[in-house]
Amino acid sequence: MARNYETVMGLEVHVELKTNTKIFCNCSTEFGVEPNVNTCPVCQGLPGATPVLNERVLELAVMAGLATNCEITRVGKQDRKNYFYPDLGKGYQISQADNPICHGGYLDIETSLGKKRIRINRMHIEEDAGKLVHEEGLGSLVDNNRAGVPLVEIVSEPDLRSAEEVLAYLHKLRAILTYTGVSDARMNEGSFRCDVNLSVREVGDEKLGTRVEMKNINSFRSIQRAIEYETARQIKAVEAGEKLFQETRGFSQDTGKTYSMRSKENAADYRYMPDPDLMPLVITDEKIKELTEALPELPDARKARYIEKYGLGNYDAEQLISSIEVATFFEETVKKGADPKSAANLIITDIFRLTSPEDFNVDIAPEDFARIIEFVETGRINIGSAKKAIEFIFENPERTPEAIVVEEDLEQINDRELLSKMIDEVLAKSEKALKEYKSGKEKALQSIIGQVMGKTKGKANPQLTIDILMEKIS
Amino acid sequence: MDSKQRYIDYFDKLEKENEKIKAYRTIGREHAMEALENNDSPFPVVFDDQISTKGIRTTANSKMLENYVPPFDATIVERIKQAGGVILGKTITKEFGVGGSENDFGTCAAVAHGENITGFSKDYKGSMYSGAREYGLFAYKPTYGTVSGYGIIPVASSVDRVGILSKTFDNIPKAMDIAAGKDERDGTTFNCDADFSKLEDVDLGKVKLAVINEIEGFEYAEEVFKKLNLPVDKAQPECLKYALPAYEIISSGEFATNMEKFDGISFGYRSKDYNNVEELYRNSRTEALGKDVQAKIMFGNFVLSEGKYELYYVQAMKARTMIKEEFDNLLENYEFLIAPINPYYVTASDLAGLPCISMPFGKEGFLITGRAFNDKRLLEFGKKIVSKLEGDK
Repeated sequence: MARNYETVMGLEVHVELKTNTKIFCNCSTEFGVEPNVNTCPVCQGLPGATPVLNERVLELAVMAGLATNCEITRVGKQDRKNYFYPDLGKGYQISQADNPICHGGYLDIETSLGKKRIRINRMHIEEDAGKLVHEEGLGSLVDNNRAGVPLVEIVSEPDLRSAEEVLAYLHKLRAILTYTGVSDARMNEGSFRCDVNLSVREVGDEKLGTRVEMKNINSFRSIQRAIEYETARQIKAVEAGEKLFQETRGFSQDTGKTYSMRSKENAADYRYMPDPDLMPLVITDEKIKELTEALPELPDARKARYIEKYGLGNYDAEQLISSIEVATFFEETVKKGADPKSAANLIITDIFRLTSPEDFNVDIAPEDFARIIEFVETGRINIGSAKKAIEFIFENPERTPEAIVVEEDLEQINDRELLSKMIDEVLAKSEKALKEYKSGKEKALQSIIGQVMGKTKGKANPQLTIDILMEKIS
Repeated sequence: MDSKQRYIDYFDKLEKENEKIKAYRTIGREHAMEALENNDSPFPVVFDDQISTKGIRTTANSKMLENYVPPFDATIVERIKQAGGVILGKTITKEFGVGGSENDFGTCAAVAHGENITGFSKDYKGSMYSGAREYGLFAYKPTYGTVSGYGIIPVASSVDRVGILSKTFDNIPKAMDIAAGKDERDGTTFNCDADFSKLEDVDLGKVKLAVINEIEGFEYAEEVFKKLNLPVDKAQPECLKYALPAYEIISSGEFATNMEKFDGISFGYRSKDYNNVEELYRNSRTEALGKDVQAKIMFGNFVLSEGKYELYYVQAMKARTMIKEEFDNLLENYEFLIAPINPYYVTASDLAGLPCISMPFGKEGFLITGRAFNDKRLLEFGKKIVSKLEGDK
């Protein structure tokens, strides 16, 4: 009998905090400027330069912790993590070892299997390293613009079991961070980076399998592919009786495969020690109260509101709250008079095809979008044409829904006689499909409807078409 | 030194004699001449070579930094310059404060050689006090956190303090007046409200003193105070026996990580002999750092390493807390402690971060330790003692 395996995953997410200046100096955190423009003795690690904590970093980290139900540390410290790497000017990274700023939280995710709670082990503040740039003829060069950009590392418990859960967790986390203004959380700019710890074991086993860490995967799509590939690789190895090694692996977008980067067996000893240049971190009750009061409506509260007020399903509501931009777009559309369920459907099925929720960039104004939904509601256009109209506006946001419907000839055919005639024509050529339908193949009907739609360039009223067709064939 | 000519004369003399007195790593004639322009209140100063000076080579007496010119001033340098300080040059120290050198007391040599020079030196393990004793100088270390450490190449950031050296006592409060106070670039500094330009008279009858009578032969210090008719109690802190090992462990751990930036990548010495980045690190560090420096780094990494950290480093930090507490208690009963210049006492007072002045009186000199953040009062007491003992030096 084939054995059943489960994938056990925990995530380490590095998030750049949204501050104007770096964590230990007054240099700007601006992204995409000339190399080494935003540097000073402190973030270059010059001898004698000492760090001073940017208080905003602490506030944002505490907000992230409060928004994810974490305990907040009241008296903490910062530690040096020592290792040699050319992008690390000081030879150590200022991070937090045994006493992170937040610990013991959770967030709730929604997948096709329903709701699940994912525990957060800890959240700590640290500084980012610089970047190595490899130039032909010049060799490797160091760009310290990123050195000292503030990060929080958010470590989950190994509670995740599928790529779907991982993506749901990441989307929820991202939503919380953007709602609270803690981070821009842009994966493509590196302000939201995810490492996946993955192992497999037989269902029912208590013990965890050998863990592999997959580092620096730079898109949600790649994360999914990496998880799928790595799961299959590990199961195959276990089945073949091979020994798996604790190691760090990368993911190649080109091959779709993970590859070994380094073994963990001879992992570095980071020789953590409290940084003597920095004073203890102290977080008062007043500070926590102030930050709690400053928290905006969080994704889950918003989701509950959508479910209650608009009658949306759990899953749909979860999709809409996945980023503040999406949620705002949805609410603006509803404010302009659109039916909430139709708006939700079109956003999830259609707008998300044109722009991803994690990098939401809509070229359609909420009032135009609301107008298209209204056209559907009143039967002026069908849902297929609504999709086309949206695409036209994405191509040219200057055009109005009214003009598009007229100019692109999208008006729905609601004429019973005209449709009846077309259906007759299609039926005359569809003896085979008809026979299949009568012998019990419901699906055969779809091809007949499809042909009617084709004949009307997609403009037929779908419900009316089905009604007429059913009258004719039953 | 108040005229340009006197500076020129001094440099002429210095350039002939430096080799003999082994005081300066870099003589800063040109910078000094520049600093004299439009300067209403010039006064001569030297900084040791672990203190960053913008535009003036700062080597920490190491091959690692033999060509390093900092692009910024340490905060103390900035403040002294703004007040009119004229930097005569950078003085010789032990390599990175801990290693070998031609003269461990280069700053003292420079201060002793000139006329009315104020010296600034990052002290490690009290070598500043020993130097001051040898050269007959006053040496003052303010409370930890009173004077900024920004720009000081550290041995151990949590114990390092810049000390002030002078032949005359009055230069010390003058320097404190300029240098003390909160620095936005050093998070370990505090506000300092004391006005060091106005030292009050001290009623010696109201001062309670204790002598740390820990070593034999220290009776000469008691004699000094007896002569002044000042009663002194005897105290014997328990914690002194932990001080030196705790100090070695903590300072080595901090030193090891402070030294990681010297990797041959962005600044400092880079070996020519390497095939990959690992070799670049190893060969640069091996070729450019002296044996004593390497040994301290290795010991530091040992005490920080997995399994050893709890055994050594954590224990040393506990000892440090005990030392602080014992000193706090002692200083509740006594306002000042008179102590010998020896490694046990010096490392204990450093771990506690207490203000301390080294007085060149009696056979071997002695230290007076005051209460934390009561630097002004300590200097007032010191000044009073000096006025009574002057001529006894």
